[in-house]
Amino acid sequence: MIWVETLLNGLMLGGLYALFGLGLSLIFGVMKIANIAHGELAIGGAFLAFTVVGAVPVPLVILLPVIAVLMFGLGYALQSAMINRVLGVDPIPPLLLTFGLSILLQNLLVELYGANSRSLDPGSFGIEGIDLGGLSVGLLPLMTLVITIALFAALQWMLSRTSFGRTIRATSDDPEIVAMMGVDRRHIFALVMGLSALLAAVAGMLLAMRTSITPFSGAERLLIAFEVIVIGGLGSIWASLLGGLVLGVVHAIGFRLDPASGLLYGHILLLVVLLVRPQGLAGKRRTR
Amino acid sequence: MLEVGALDALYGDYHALFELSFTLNPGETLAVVGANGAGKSSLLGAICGLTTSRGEVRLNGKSLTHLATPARAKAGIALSPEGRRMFTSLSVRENLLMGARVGRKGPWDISSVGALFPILDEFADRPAGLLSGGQQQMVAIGRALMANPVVLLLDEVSLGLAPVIAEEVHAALAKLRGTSEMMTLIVEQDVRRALGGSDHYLCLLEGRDVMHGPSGTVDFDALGRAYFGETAA
Amino acid sequence: MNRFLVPLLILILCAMPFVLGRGMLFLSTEILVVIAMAQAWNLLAGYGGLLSLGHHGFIGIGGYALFIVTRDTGLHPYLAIPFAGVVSAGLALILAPILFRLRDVYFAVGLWVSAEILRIVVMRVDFTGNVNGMPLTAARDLNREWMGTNAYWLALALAVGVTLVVWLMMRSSFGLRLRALRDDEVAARSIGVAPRQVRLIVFMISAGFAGMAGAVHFLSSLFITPVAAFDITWMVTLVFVTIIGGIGRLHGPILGAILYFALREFLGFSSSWYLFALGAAGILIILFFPRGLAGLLDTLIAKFAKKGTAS
Repeated sequence: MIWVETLLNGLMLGGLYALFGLGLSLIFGVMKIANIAHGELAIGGAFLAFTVVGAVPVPLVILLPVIAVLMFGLGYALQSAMINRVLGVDPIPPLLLTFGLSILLQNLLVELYGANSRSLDPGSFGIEGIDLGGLSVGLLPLMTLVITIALFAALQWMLSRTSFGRTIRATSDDPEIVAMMGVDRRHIFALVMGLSALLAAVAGMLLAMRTSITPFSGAERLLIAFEVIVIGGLGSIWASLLGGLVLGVVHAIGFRLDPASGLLYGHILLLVVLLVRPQGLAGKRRTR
Repeated sequence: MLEVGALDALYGDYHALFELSFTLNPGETLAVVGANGAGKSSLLGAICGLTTSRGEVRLNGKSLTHLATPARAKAGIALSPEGRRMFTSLSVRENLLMGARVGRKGPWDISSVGALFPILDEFADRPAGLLSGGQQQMVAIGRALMANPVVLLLDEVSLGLAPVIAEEVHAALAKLRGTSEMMTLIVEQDVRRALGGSDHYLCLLEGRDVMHGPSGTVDFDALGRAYFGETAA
Repeated sequence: MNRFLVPLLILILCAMPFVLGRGMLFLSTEILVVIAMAQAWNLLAGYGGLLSLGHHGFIGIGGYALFIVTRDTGLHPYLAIPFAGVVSAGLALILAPILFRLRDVYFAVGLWVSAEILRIVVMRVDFTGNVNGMPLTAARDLNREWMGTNAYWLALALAVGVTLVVWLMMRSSFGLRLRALRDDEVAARSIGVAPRQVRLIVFMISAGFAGMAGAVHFLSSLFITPVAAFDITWMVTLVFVTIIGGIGRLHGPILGAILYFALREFLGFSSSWYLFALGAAGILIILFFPRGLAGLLDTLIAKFAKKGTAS
């Protein structure tokens, strides 16, 4: 029974991991770059939420979407003001730029909020649980998993069914030719970065409800997001969900067997996957 | 009317086109011929803004010179690019819908393109990346038509296609001629076929206009010499 | 001119311990160690096009290699420095088959994850003194009076040595192949460059130098802990030093390190404001002066030379 519970906890934790990976996978798919500041955007969203609830005590159902929209705006602004300027054949400038951004954001958070750990109070259901045939399942982790799956489904629907989603996929296939369809790719890139920041911020807030975070928590979130997409494989957003769930289960089992392991087994899993299946568990082609 | 004046095309320091000028009247087709590297694709690129250029491009009196590619597309320039450049993860229908994204009204929509190229109707839901070269060429032309363009730019329409398929593509293009005000620039390896399907021709050599005139009365011997840069003795 | 200026400069630097006070000597040692590390990182990222975000792993392992080998074999700490380089290069050799499956950002973050694994393992294993770290047991072999000066000289030798090796490499046909690979892999392959082999060599050299620099650093502090050895701050420093100085340039890391430490000492910011300012400076440089200080200097010299010939 304890192993079923471990598995269940791992899956719920993995849902959250998948959400961290989703935003990173999205920008890589469209722009072929990664954002080293992804973790800081996630953590930054949670800190922004601390400030807002500190000033006006709004319920979480309002807080989450409001912060998500604000972070969308930040992502859009960062892409159009900076990252778009260094996109080109050389992958190194965007990488260094987002690295600089990550250090800047992290230390801005330290100055603004101090290095102490904080968390978002999820209210009463933070401690409530429901009984599933003898298994006690926390309401909060369950809600996290539900939100994650809903966001994955919404993104999948948007990409495959809407005109905007079609434009995103076309831009990913051939960013030059979409200009002949009247599309300004810089605008599409900025929207995609906005979406990525939005997803990161939701993940960051959900994380801050289940555990406490510091301005330094961004780095490990980036590593988790990265592991999710490499383990799952690039190419489809469902691969990220799979990657997240697998990583979550591995962490849960690792924690059960060896409580001091931290992220160690997830890191090792990454290297093992690279060694035996470099395209990822659900990837079709080489990860590049 | 499309007016091109003293157009230069540049790739960094490399000069691909020198002071090219011509005008094209509504409903007319211009065949652009020349050897590999003569600047044919650069000309199309300079007109639609994908290639950096200097000089004038005017469409029905309105200057496009300072507009970026998306704005030129919205003004009515559409391109079927060399190499076809499919959106490989999109279906055939989605590729066509991308063409309509500029939002110009006119006769072309999914059903009229499907009538021109019936195979596209049949394969509407297939990923465009899985089609044969000829079918992809039809998608590329159909995608450009979906924009209801004022000027249609067709780059290397039969490159790499089997003769039968090339024939089929050109037969479809022939149906378009003279049916509307749309102007067409066609770049084609097969000079006789290009001239047979056009009102005027323009022969380029190393980025310069070496010969032009009406397609109907062309002297093929003189054109052949111009094409290879042999000066008439 | 450089033929005389550079040896003269090195000679002056050698004599510095007799002029500088304790504090300045310690700072100078730190600058030289960072120059050596940044040259190693720049060799891989700037010349090789392989950006690493995990060099702190090689630095940490180099440090630990020195502490462990001097503890267990009685090897003199100064002689253990090359050994530390070999261990770090060996680690690169082991990681290469896995990480070379990744490109660009994935390679960078993959190395970071590897450094994390090392940190966690070293923290948990008693052989390495676990979370408490370990003192340099061989410190008793060292002359207390000369310890600081020797550390400075070692750091100087390393910084000059690494710079010299990078310079020689870039003048050789190997350097040509490396840069060809960075600029256009397909073209480089077509003229017979073996990508894996060239990248493996440069990766191992870069890792080896980072390990030696780590060994010198922790040798001078006489104590090592996992937190200090595998600190991501190493990585942040190397990236900013190189960006500010000029990535892919031989004098980039040198100029960058001097400016980095000068600003740190004189601005008197809190460490988080300083890092914030560095982040901002790094972003501005990438956006507006991608060739960094070295590039700016070249432009100025070129302008000056033009004026000189004109008058």
